Amino acid sequence: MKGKWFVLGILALGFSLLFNTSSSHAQKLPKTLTLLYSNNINGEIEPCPT
Amino acid sequence: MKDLRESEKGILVLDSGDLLFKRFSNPAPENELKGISEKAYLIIESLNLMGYDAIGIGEDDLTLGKDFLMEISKKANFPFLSSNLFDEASGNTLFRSSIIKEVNGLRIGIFSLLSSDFFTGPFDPRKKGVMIRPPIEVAQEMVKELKPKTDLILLLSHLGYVKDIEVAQTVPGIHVIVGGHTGINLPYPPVIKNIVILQTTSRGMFIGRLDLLFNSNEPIFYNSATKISLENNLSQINQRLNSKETPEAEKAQWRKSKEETERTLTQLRGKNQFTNHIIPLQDQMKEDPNIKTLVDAYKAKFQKTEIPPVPK
Repeated sequence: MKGKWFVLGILALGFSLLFNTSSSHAQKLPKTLTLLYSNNINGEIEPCPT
Repeated sequence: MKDLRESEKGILVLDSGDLLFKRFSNPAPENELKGISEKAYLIIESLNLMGYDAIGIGEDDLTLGKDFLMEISKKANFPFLSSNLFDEASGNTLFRSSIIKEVNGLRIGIFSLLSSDFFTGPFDPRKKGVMIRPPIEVAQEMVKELKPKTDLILLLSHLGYVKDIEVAQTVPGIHVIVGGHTGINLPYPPVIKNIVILQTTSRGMFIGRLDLLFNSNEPIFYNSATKISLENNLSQINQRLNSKETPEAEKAQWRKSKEETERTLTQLRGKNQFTNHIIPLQDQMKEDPNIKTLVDAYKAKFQKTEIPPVPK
């Protein structure tokens, strides 16, 4: 009986460690944001003269 | 834009004003009003197709008056923003003063400001029926309102570059100013008191792209180009220090430079980096077929037909 609880305890500890590791890894993943921006279009689009 | 939207998850497309009409000099003549207003509708329809997320208001957007601007805003799939532009009669803001967009798990607060300095005076017809509150005062109020609810605050500014710097120096809490009116390309955007200031030149010749990468929760940013440049400097300094040809007296100076460069690089650790590109709009760029159809229809209706020269 004791042995069964011991195995269950080990499994629970293993799962919790696995969960904590993967969630902390997820937190460390960088978030990205891209801004595309324009201004002064002034009612007309002209191709760049370059 | 379409390709980017398909390949990237966290994108916001923004404009900071002076979008709809040519630079104002005089009220438009009666016979040109229809063409001018239909062109403004065409622009809004194109921006709908391009998936813009929000626009700010510039003084030239009021060329056909506040009622026209309010009416045309109903055709847009995105909000018109202005935090300091008020309806004189009701005392309410003409448009929404801010929005919060959730992108890639980040809550982005966006507000917009317009400068009263760009009108020709109290009798400028574009000012009829509107009132503009002092931008710095309103910026402080907006930051106070948005800060508890957001991770990042963006200002769509139609204040001009000089005023953008003043805002950055006096209003903490904003993270990015997307500037307008001055019409200058800022390929290497200044960062003043942790506020990144952006702008591109006029007539849609360029579009700006800013990529922000969040490694830490505190949104303090530095230009990735700065880091690369510092690392290159450090490598050159080390070469000088390791070279037998460098005189000892000179090495003392290089050691000092090395310490300073290393200190600056250490300060960048833990902050977030950005890259900024100013992308030229070129003739050979692929046109969107839907927008082209709209433009062709407009041209067929309003473009003046050229009178062939009289044969001699």
